[in-house]
Amino acid sequence: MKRFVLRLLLFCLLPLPLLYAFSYIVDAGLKKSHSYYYAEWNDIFHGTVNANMVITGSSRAYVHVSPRILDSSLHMNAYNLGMNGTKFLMQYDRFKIYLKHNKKPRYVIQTLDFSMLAENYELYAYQQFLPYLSDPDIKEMTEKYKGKFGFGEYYFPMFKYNNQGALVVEGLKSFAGRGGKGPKYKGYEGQPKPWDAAFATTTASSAGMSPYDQVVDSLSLAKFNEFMALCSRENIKVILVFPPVYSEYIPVFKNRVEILHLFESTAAKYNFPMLNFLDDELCADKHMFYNSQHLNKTGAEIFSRKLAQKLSGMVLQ
Amino acid sequence: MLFNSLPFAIFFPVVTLLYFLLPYRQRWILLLMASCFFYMFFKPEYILILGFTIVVDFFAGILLEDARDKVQRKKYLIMSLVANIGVLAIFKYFNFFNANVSALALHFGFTNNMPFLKMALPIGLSFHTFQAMSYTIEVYRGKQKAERHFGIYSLYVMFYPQLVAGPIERPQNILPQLHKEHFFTYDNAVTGLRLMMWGMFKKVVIADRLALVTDPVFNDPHHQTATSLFFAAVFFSFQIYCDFSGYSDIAIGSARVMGIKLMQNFNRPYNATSIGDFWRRWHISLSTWFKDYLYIPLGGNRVAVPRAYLNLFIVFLISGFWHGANWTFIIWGALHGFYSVFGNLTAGFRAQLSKVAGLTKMVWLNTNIQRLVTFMLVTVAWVFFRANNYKDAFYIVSRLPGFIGETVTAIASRPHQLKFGVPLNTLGGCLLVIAILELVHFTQGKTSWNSILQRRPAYMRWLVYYGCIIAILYFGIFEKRQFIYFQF
Repeated sequence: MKRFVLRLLLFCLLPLPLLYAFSYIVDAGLKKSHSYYYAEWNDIFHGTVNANMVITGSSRAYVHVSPRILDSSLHMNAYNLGMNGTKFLMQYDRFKIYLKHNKKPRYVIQTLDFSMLAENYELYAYQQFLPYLSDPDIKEMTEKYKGKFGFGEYYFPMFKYNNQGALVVEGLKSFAGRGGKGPKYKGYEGQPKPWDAAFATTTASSAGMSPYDQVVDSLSLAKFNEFMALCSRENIKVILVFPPVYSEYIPVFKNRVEILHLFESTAAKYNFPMLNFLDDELCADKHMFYNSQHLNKTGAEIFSRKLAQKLSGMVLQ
Repeated sequence: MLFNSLPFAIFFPVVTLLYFLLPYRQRWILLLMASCFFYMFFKPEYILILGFTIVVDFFAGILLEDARDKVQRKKYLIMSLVANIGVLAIFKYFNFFNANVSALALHFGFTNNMPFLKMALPIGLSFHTFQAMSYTIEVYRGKQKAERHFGIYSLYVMFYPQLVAGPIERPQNILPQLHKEHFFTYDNAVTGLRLMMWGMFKKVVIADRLALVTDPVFNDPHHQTATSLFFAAVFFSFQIYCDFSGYSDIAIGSARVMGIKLMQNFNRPYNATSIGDFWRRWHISLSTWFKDYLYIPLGGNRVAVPRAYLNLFIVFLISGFWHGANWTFIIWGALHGFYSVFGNLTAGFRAQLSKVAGLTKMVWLNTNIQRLVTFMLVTVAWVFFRANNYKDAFYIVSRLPGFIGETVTAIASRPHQLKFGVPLNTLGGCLLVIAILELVHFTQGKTSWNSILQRRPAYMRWLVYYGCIIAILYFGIFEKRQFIYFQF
């Protein structure tokens, strides 16, 4: 038995240094990468953003607000921190990590949507966190989403890259200084897509898209207030922005008036402005959207210009 | 506890180490406690059901052996069978019968107010119930002495490696092994771990990968092309094989490390050249159970030909029902029954046909045609096994031939538009893992992997192990998927 245990130990321990070294190389490579989701995280962690205006929110931030347009119109250094597939809790966590590693911004454009304060258990695009799993902030941030990362992902070398061949290759390439370049510009990525008809298909299906009350999660609301209070304390001006939504989709949210009122009253409580684009003419033009909640590139750039115009009276240049 | 989970990765070495460190007389206590813990990891309260059948069968065995006359012996056997089948009837089949009675009553204008049982099916119920029944039947037949050690008998039913999905063991194989002192041997440990590794590979690398393709298709068959339905059906054949045989391999391997030899449950079933041959290779512990305890008592083939065919059909029908309380499983069983009867009826004609076509001279071709036809028949039957309901199953089967037309049309006109229903890299990954499986099977046809590895130098063996482990860890799917057969 002794011989067997010794050989088993040797068998298990022998590849570990190699795996740890490989894992280190892939992590280090992805921490330099500009493709996939890593450009923004790397900018944040390397403290190279230092923007005086950051845009936070979900996909409705990252595909809607062009920093290039804000920069040129407002003579600002804007950066889009929008995170696809997220609700407010995740967006706030990212903002806190941003503040930890970068100079605090003067302005935060927080984009809004009706389901922003809803509960969310899903860790969307979990791959974006893989090279940073050993970072305590990322660990704390992702631990809230139970079941995605466990002992194996945190401590066993390379296990977190299970079935992520493309990421491993990108990590190796970036480590060798030959990594790919992502399509985003300072976190923004316009979507040159036509209307995808998913909304029409859903509404026309037998299940339909019946209006419902969007439940507001109490923790998310508390954190939203915490965010507003933090910015107020730090002299960061928050501007809440509700970007356009395709007009036929708006009635899906039965309690939309209450939710809008909640945003308005929170903004008022902290003496911050709110810009609502739900009445904007863009909302009625299907050609400006690629789906019910997202403007396409043309729509997003028109919207960014309109936003810049409205912001020009609110920000000190 | 799932075999493909971190808790098992801790549980197994700890239990095995303690097993060999403990004095022989106390090992059964450890194994029984470990088995209880293993089972209760799923849902603790279900152990009470298991406890009930264990107590009933333990005493039934003793009473059977002590009974003086045949009538009394029969009485005790019936008592045991009623208890076991009763548990199955209540927990597995009651809601199915109730739903069908309700539907029938509604058809005739009545209402059935019998309430439904609101509880999930205890995991592995059919497996341990059948294993328990085989004990009392064997004691009744006088082929097995009644076990008088309650702990050992409990362990016979509850031995954790095979508790929830078999192999369904016979008392003659397991009980003596549970009494015997097993010493640690290097050979058992290595053979067992190899088998566990291969079982894990089949489960997480092959079966769960194929599930990524089959699940969405079977869950929404009406929005799929014939090509994607075809691939899903074929992939499911491999998925269920790798899922179930993977479980069996891990079970057999983990018992083997402790020196306990469980029976073989699979023998390259898709190499079968007929449906009869398939059932000699697939879920062997269940098919032999049905043969010994149902088919032969019904008269087997030592009766008039029509009756023998009826016996065969009944066995398959009940086998289908054993799998699950759903019409899809009953149709699946009936289909296999039909295949078997039809196969026997036409055996002579088919042999004649092969002779006329000159296939008998081309043994290789003849065998492979038989294998292909058997695989296709089995695959069609698996559609019923997997589909969410029998309407979906009939729909899928009706569209399977459309795959040929779709492919031919696409290749002829627009090859770049050939729709597989899944991304090409996913499809490629699935085909690759199937190719690896078949390659291993091909080599196993000549000699076992154990002996192949044994003849190689240590560094080559280690390279194979590392390759397999890397595939499991980095290309396996870890989404806490249960084994398909857990539901039975």
